[in-house]
Parts: sequence; C-alpha cells; structure tokens
Amino acid sequence: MRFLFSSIGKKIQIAISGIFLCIFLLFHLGNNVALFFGSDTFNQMVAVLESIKPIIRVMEFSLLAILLLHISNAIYLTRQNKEKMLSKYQGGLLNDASSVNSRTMVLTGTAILAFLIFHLSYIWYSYQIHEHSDHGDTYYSILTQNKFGFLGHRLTAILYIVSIALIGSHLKHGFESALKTFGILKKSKLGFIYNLSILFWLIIPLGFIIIILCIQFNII
Amino acid sequence: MKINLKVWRQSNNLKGQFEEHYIENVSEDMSFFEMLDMLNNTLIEQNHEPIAFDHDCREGICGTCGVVINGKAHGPLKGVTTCQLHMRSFEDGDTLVVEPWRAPSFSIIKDLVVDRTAFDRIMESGGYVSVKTGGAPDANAIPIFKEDADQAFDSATCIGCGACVAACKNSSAMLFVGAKINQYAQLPQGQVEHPSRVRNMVTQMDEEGFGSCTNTGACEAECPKEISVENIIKLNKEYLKHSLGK
Amino acid sequence: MQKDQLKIDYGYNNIEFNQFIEQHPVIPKGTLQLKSRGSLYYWYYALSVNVPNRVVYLCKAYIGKKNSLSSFELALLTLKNKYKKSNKKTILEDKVPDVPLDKKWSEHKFNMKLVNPANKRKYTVIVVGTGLAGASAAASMAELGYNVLAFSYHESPRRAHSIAAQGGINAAKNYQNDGDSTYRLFYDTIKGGDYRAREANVYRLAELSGNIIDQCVAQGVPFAREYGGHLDNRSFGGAQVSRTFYARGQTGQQLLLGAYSALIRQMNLKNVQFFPRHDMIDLVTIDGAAKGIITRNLLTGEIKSFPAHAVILATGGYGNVFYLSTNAMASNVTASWRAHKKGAFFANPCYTQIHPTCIPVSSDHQSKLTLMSESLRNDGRVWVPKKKNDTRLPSQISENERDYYLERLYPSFGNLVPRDVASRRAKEMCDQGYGVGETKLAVYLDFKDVIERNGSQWVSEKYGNLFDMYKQITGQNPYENPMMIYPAVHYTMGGLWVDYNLMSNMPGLHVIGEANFSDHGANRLGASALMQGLADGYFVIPYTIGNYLANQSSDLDIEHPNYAECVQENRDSIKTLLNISGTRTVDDLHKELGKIMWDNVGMSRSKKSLETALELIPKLKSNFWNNIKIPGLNNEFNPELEKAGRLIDFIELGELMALDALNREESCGGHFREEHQTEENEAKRDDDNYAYVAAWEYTKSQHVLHKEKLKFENVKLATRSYK
Ligand SMILES: Cc1cc2nc3c(=O)[nH]c(=O)nc-3n(C[C@H](O)[C@H](O)[C@H](O)COP(=O)(O)OP(=O)(O)OC[C@H]3O[C@@H](n4cnc5c(N)ncnc54)[C@H](O)[C@@H]3O)c2cc1C
Ligand code: SF4
Ligand code: FES
Repeated sequence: MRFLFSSIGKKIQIAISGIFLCIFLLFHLGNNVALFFGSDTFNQMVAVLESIKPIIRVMEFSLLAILLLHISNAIYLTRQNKEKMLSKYQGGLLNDASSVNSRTMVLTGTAILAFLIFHLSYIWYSYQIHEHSDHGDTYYSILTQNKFGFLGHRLTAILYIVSIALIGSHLKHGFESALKTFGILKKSKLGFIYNLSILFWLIIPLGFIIIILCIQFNII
Repeated sequence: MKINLKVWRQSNNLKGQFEEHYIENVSEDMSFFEMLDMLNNTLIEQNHEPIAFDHDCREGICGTCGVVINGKAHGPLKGVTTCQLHMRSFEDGDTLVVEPWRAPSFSIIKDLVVDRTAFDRIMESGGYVSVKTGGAPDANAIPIFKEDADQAFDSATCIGCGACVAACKNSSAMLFVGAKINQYAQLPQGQVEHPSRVRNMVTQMDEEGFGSCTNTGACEAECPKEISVENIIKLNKEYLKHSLGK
Repeated sequence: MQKDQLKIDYGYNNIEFNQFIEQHPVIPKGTLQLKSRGSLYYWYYALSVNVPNRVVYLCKAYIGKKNSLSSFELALLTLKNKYKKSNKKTILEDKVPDVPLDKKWSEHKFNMKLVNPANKRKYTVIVVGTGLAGASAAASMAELGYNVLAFSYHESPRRAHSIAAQGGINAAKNYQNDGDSTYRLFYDTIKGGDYRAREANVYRLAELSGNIIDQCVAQGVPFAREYGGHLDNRSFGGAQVSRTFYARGQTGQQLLLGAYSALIRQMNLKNVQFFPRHDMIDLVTIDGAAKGIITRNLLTGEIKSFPAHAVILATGGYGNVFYLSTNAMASNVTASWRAHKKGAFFANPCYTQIHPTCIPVSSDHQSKLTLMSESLRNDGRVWVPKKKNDTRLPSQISENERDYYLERLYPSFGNLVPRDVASRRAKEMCDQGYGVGETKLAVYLDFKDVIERNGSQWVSEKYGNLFDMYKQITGQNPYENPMMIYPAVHYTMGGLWVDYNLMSNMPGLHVIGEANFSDHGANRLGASALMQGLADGYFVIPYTIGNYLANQSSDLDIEHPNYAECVQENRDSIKTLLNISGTRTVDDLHKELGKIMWDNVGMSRSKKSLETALELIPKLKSNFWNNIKIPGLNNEFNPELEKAGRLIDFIELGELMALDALNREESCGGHFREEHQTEENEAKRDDDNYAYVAAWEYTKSQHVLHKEKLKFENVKLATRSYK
C-alpha cells in the first residue's frame, strides 16, 4: 500500500474520498426532496433517521474522517505544488486551455469548507439539540425559519446559493479529475460515467438551489 | 519590424533579472532564434555578454530549445517549438517577455538555459525494454495492430523538451512520463517489465521533485508535439493497476 | 643537483645522444631533457615552435619508479622507433579477410580474438558521441561487460543530431517480395556511391541491415505498419525496390530513442558512465596508440583527461563547414579533426552530399537549412517552367508549360534518381534561368497529382509533419501550392579513415557512424546513414573492439605524463583564444568560411575555384587568430568559446577539403569537377587513376596523401546510369 503515498497515490486518496462525499450529497438531496411532500413527511423522515441514531453517528464520523482525508491530502499536495510553483512567470502564466474551475480548486475547496462549518453550526447543531428546544419547533420549521443561518432568511439563502454554486464548480473539475485519476478515458467503455458527472456538478447543486428558492418564495 | 525584448539574465547561481533590448530591423522571415542570434552578434560587438539559450536542430525535433514567451511555453503558437517560431507570428512593436523554463526540478544554468537531466534520470529508472543486442526475433514475428502501433507512435513523438513541466502550475512531469509509459504499454515488446517500469518511473518522478498533476490540461495545450492528456489518464490507470497489492 | 644526479643514474650520455641525432637527420634539432611530474621522471625531447604558449613535443620517453628498466637507452630507443615509423612509408591495410564476399564477415568474426568475459570489466572503452552510432555502441559494449565511458556535448543522448533524420532506414528484408536481397542492397549502395566505397564493408552493412530492424522493433520502436500488422516500407532514391522502413517522418527520432533507451538501461545498471555537456577537445596518445581523451566540461570549463584502453569516435558529420547546412547547429568536426592532428588519417574529405529537397535560403540571417525528406520524391513531382524567368504563380502555369525535367532526363528512375544527380540538375536548371521564387534559386516539388489521386487525408497521414514544417517555415500551404525546394549541404561521406575493423590507422582509435568514411563512397543513398550508424554500433564495433583489446594489457598507466601535458596544452590554447579579443564574432567568420566553401568547394568545383579557396582560407585562418572576439571566460557556460574552438577546426578542414577536391581530377558522386563531365553533363569518373581512397596525413608543414587502392572483385565498374 506504499503506493498510496506517491504523488499519484495521494490523488487517488483525494479522488476516492471525493467520490464518497459526492455520494453523500446524493443522499442529502434525496432527503431534502422530502420537503416537497409537506412538513409531516419531512418530520417523519428525520424522525426515522433519529431512531437509528447510532448508525447515523457511525456514518457521520466516517464521513468526517473521509472529509479530513480529502482535505489533508489536498492541503499536502497543494503545499507541495506551491513549492514547485516558484514565482513562475513575469509574463503571467497564460493558459487559456486550463479551465477556471481547475485552477481554483483550492479556493473553492476552502470556501466550501467555510460554508460547511457555517451550515453544520446552524442546521446540524440545531437538529442535535432539537429534543431540548421548544416543542413548537419541528425539524421542518427549524430549517425554514426566517432567522440568520436558516433557509427562510434572505441573506442566508443567498449565501447558500453562492456556496452551492461553488460546490458545483468544485465538483465539475473534481469529479472528472477523479475519473482521470482512476484512469478512465472518455472514449472507453466506462466513458459514460463522464456524462454522469453532470448529475453531480449540475443536477444536485441545482436541486439544492431550487429547494432554497422554493423555501424563499414560500412554495414549500 | 521592431521588437521590444525583455529577457531574463542570470548566471552562476546569482539572482537573475530582466534586461531590456530594443531591436530594429527584424524581418518577418526570421525565426525567433535568428532574431536572438542577431541581437547576440550586436551584443558581442558592443562588448556585452550574449544571451545564452539552448538550441540545436532548429527543426523542432531534438527538444533542446524552449523558452517561455509572454507566459507561454514555446511562444504563442500551438504545436510548435520555439526554434520553429517565426517573427511573422508577432506584430511590429510587440513587447516580448522571454523567460527560461521555471520549475524546481529544472535549475537554471545560465540565462535561458536550464538543466533537464531529471528527465534522463526518470528514463533511466525504467524507460526501456530490456533486450540485448542480437537477441531479437524477426521484426515481423509479432504482428502489431496498425492502430496500436499508431497510438504508440503518437506517444513516442515526445521530444522531451520539458514545456509540459514549464507550463504546469504544479511543475508536474506527468505528461512526459505518461507518454513514455504509454508507448510501451501499447506494444507487445517489454510487457513483462511493464508493471515495474510504471512503478519505478513514477517513484523516480516523485523523487526528482516534480509536482503532482491536478488535471488542469495546461501541459497538453503547450506541448509542441500535442501529446494528449490521455497519456496521463492511462498512466494513472496503469499505475493503479500495477500498484494494488504492492 | 638532484636532476643531474638522476640523469647520471639513468645513464644519460650526452655524446651518444648527439651522435644519435647526427645519424638521424629526420629528427628536428632539439634537446633531450629530464622532466619530473610529481615523483615521476621522464625524458622528453622538445622543440618550441612559433605558436605562442605552446611547446610541441616530438618524443616522450617515459621513465618512472615503476619501471626500473627505464633509462636513457629506453628513451633513445623510443625516439629511434618513432622516427623509424614515421620514416617508413605507411601502407594502409584494409584488413579485409581474403575469402569470398559473402563469407568475409562470418569468417572474420570467427577469427577474431576474444576477451575473456571475466576480464572485460578491466577494460575501459571511451565512446565519444551518443548519436545513433555512439549510443548503440556504448550500450552493446556495456552489455558485453566492458567498462564504458560515454561523452557528449549535448545535455542528453536523446538530443544528438541523429534525431533529425526523417525519411527512413534501409534493410534488405524483402518483406515486400519485390526481389530485394543482401546482394541487391550491396550493389545499389556501391553503385549509388559511384564505385568509391570498399566492397567488403558495404556487403557487411547489407548483411547486417536486417538485424537492425529486428533489434529496433524489439526495443519498442514504433515503425509504420500495414493494416495486417506487419511492417510497412517505402521507396527511396537510387533503388527500384521498396526497402525503407520508417516511422512517419520521424524515423531518426524513434531509432535514436531506441538506442538511447538501450544506453540508459546500461547506465542504470552502472555499466556505462555518461558525461553530458562534455566536449572532447583532444585525443591522448601514448606511443602512437589512442589511450584517452581530454574533455572540457561545458558548464564549468573544467579541462580533464580520461584514460582508456581504446577510444571510439562517433561524433557525426562536418557539413557545418559550409555554415548553412541541414545539420544541427552544434554539429562539428572537432573530435575527428583533433584526432587527425594526433595522427589519424582523414579520408576523402571532399565528398559532400548536397541534398536536393531542402527549403531554399530566404535571407542573410538564415542560421540553418531545413531538409524536406527525400521520401517526398516518392509522390511529389519536380518541375520548373519551360519558359525562362517565368514570374507567374505556379497555378497559372498550365501542364504543358511545365518541364518535369527529372522524368524527362531519367525515364526509368524519374524523380527517384540519387541525390547527387537530382541536386546537380536542380542547380543546372536554376543556373540556366528556369529557377522559381523570389531568389530564382528554387524548383517546384508538386503534390497536385497525388492529392487528386488519393486525397489530402492520405497525403497528410504519410507526410503530415513535413507539410506542417514547410508551412511553419515558409508561411505557405503545400497542400495548395507546390513546395519550393533547393539543394543544401546535408551529409559528409568523408571522415576518418578506418579499416575493416573500423579502427583508424592509429591503434586503439575506432571511428563509427557518419564520422568515418567507410560505406558510402562518393555519394550516400537515402536511408543508409541510419543503417550504417546502427550496424557499426550494434553489430560491428562490439566484436572488433574485442579483437583489439585482446592484444592489450589490462593495465592502464593513468599517471602517464602525456595526460597532464595534453590537459595543459589545451588549457593554454583556450587561454590563447580568449586573449585574442579582436573584432569579429565567431558567427561572422563562420559565415565567411561558409560562403568560401559553398562558392568554391560546393556543388560543382573547378581547378580555379578550388585554388581560390586555397588562397582565401589561409587568410581567413590568420584573420581568426588575429581578429576573433570571444566574450566571457573559460570557467563558465560559454557557448561562444565552444563555437570558436569548433570554427578553427572547420577552417583547417575546409582547406583540406579543397586540397582533396583539387587532387581528385575526376567527377564522382557528390564530387563534381566541371572539367570532368560527359556531354550530357553527367559525372565522368576516372577509374584508372582515381579508384582509391584518399587518406590524408597531418604533418606540421603539410598534408601528405596516402592511397588505399579500391578493389572491385564482385561488381563491375560501370558508368552509373539512371536513365
Ligand atoms: C535533416 C537530416 C535528415 C536525415 N535523414 C536521414 C534519413 O532519413 N535516413 C538516413 O539514413 N539518414 C539520414 N540522415 C543522416 C543521418 O541522420 C546521420 O548521418 C546520422 O544520424 C549520424 O549519426 P551519428 O551517430 O554518426 O552522429 P550524430 O547523431 O551526429 O551524433 C554525434 C554525437 O557526437 C557527439 N559529439 C560530437 N562531437 C563531440 C565532441 N567533440 N565531444 C563530445 N561529443 C561530441 C554529439 O553530442 C552527438 O551525441 C539525415 C541527416 C539530416 C541532417
Ligand atoms: S510531453 Fe510534450 S511538452 Fe512534455 S516533454 Fe514531451 S514534447 Fe515536451
Ligand atoms: S532546437 Fe531542436 S527542437 Fe528546437
């Protein structure tokens, strides 16, 4: 397993962890879609999840571990590469060919991390202390209340939408890059997965954004 | 044509700096290096040190030449080495910022000349088929699909110039290494040692201090031989395949 | 004094010495002295000559502590022997075994002495140059177990000029079943070389050609293939069979990368030590045998000696004597020339190949010429307008106003006549006023027909990179307009003289690849240089070197004073160079030399032009020594200093080329003397008087000609005809 620590190995680690995080996003969106079926359905679903708390906890911790793996490797490689960059060129490094999202992975990644902390500190945290809070609140109403940090609040909504867009940008390069790291060619038998990436960088983020917009405009 | 040249000067481990030259009487038919030749001739006549730059074949095949012009490795044209660049690709009065390849694994020898022996050491770690002179079977004994031969050839056209490293923000050598690995991967010869070749060349590449690839694709865009990034993807695959369980 | 005492100890007897000198009038007057270097003492006989800061040693007899026998007697003996040798008329022995042609190589291989495998490591072999010939030789000898040191002024073996070869490599594989055979390849090469090559060498080359292809394919060289998976061939000039193997337009590159991979494999195994950016600037000889080299590290300027049991030069050709040529900018004659000055004979220096299909010169600033591979003549048709000074665009000139002169003059070979013929005809057309383009020094090479027949896709697959290159350089699209081409200096058939073992007249000095003179006679056929370089490197020298080394003791006297002295001489001469600080740059003078050479010793030569050259070149030489301007210092990366050292050798070589051309009162292959031509302007050979190799010996005062008579036992000397 020593190969995991080579430059390619490190990227494999980032890629695998990234894909796991993507899959989590898929679940996350799936859960959120329940919002469209009314507050009862949503509350019930969260309650079900609550009832299997130990399993969820394990999953949450694994997710955290994966996230840390993703971030630490990314930081490591970036720092290594930063050293390689020197000042590069006076005439600027002009590469029309490399896409903006590919060059801004570190930026978008950092922004996403900040957003994640924000998101967790409000919504996840509120859910954890839910049992101790007012009985009038349901999971549903906590989420949609018009208070900073929650989705009913205009500024929060904007913050969320921007951040989710950044996630989209991060995933667009991230997902394709991961496929490349696994050695899958666009024109190979597995090449169709490249089309799948659209699900992750476009459809999922769009889904989240629609939900937020719907909350904002009181559609749900 | 008149050209304003801002060129990097550096010698003997000292810190370098830019030097400006204003050159008149540049003809459009001159190659970029012929323009530098002309400038150097004047510099020598005026008792200045000429600008050192690496070049040899001036046909775009030996891979010796290479400078960054206005932030572009091998200058503005696609699929062209610096020596094949002609002044007609620039406008009268242009300012050209000329710099050497910059990457930690390529130290600067003088002015625009860098040391690329790291590439040779990567090659040394496995870029060959272990066949002894005289021990080869008849050349037509093993037919090779034309497509495979063509693909191997596409990878084999790499001239080892280092523009991919120079253009990459991470100074990664994945395109160079990928091209070599792939040439051999396509051919029946040397398959036995293919797994160890992949591992050894990647290890050596890391040891030489090249950065890791973040799939930005800058290398492909600047490669004078238009080596495709597919070579990197395939390298990843071969590496994964032949490292699992090791 | 201690030295006087030592002299007595070593039996120095002044009277005897003086007598000896009296009896030997050939020995120039000088003094015998006892010298010391460290704890070692040696006799030396010295004469100062006029070159500043330089002493020219005429005899060195060495006595050290190790050698208790050494004495004044020994020194005298060496001196005697040396002059006995130089007095004796040198006979060039080709060492070709006296058996039928097709048995020669196998017989010779069997008879050669072998070095015990366990002892091979004790022998150090130096290979200078890591192009096709050098890299393949170094790799193969390392495989056998010799301790190999390889040198190149390039940063990596992969940069050698061989990389630029485009068209292909010949081999008598007969995969096309078109009647090819070893004998046919042999015959074509002899005939193509205008009957001025040594039969035995050429036959061996043809015999080995097939093995080269096998070897390269096994190394992973991606040759072009047919859909069935088998190797593809194309045709080249001077042959009526299809025997040229190719890898698109980059054959040389792929072959060199193959040889390079074999070499780095041996580097990885620590059997070869490679010294990049090391310029060989001198050869060290001990008692007349090559025993090492002196190099200058191009990055640091360090001048150092490397002792070895044998030296192999694989340093390529000297086409750059013309300044403008298709050779790489740094290609030079220095290694060969300095060896020549140490005693190796230079053979046939005047045989220069002018390649017919190059991109014409466009301006004074031109630094080099670009070849368009000969393979283009497979499908392109050469023509000029029938009207003189026609300034119309090619598209406006209708079919019946065009003169496809090669097809007209040579109906059976057409556009595929050998290079010398095609070049000379192009020059003739232009001289008569039929030339095209702005300078009128060009002819058309037209692909209209083949594009119409097979489509531009097909053409691009076959010649894509050449077409791109043409477009890049000229700014014209050859898919739409015909290419314009003109002949340019391309290859040098001459080189250091070697015998059948590829050893020069100097024991231990071997020469392979383009640097030797051996296989191409007066004109090289296309796709034969790669073949020769690889045959020499992979399959000849690894055997013949053993034959030489088997007779050598494995002890190497690395303390011999000749090494240190040679280093010092070279340090001094570089100092001299840097001290001149005149006004002319190296490139300036090189251009001047190039012009003299091209105008007078170029595509056609006459007594008058050659005499002009012999008048101008010495002037240029003194101009060099008085007026050259080299910036910078020795102990740094200094390209101008490198170039200056090379230029002076080119100048001296240029003089010899003119001399050789003047001596050869006939026309043959690449050597065309205006005085010797037929009514149809074809070359007229003089087999009775000139069927010999002209091998030139360097002496202080002049060049001495030695002749190796060429024996033709298997082909009949005939006038070449490609009609
Ligand atoms: C444009 C072009 C196209 C060609 N196309 C073909 C073709 O299609 N088919 C064909 O058969 N032939 C072709 N040729 C000819 C052929 O390429 C050469 O003759 C052949 O490659 C020479 O190989 P070599 O190994 O002898 O020398 P080179 O490849 O020239 O190598 C010389 C080596 O010697 C080293 N060296 C030289 N001097 C010194 C020194 N003083 N100190 C240290 N190192 C030194 C150099 O660094 C280099 O490594 C072509 C030539 C040209 C110019
Ligand atoms: S991959 Fe392209 S850019 Fe990189 S070394 Fe090879 S030819 Fe140069
Ligand atoms: S000088 Fe050879 S590739 Fe540019």
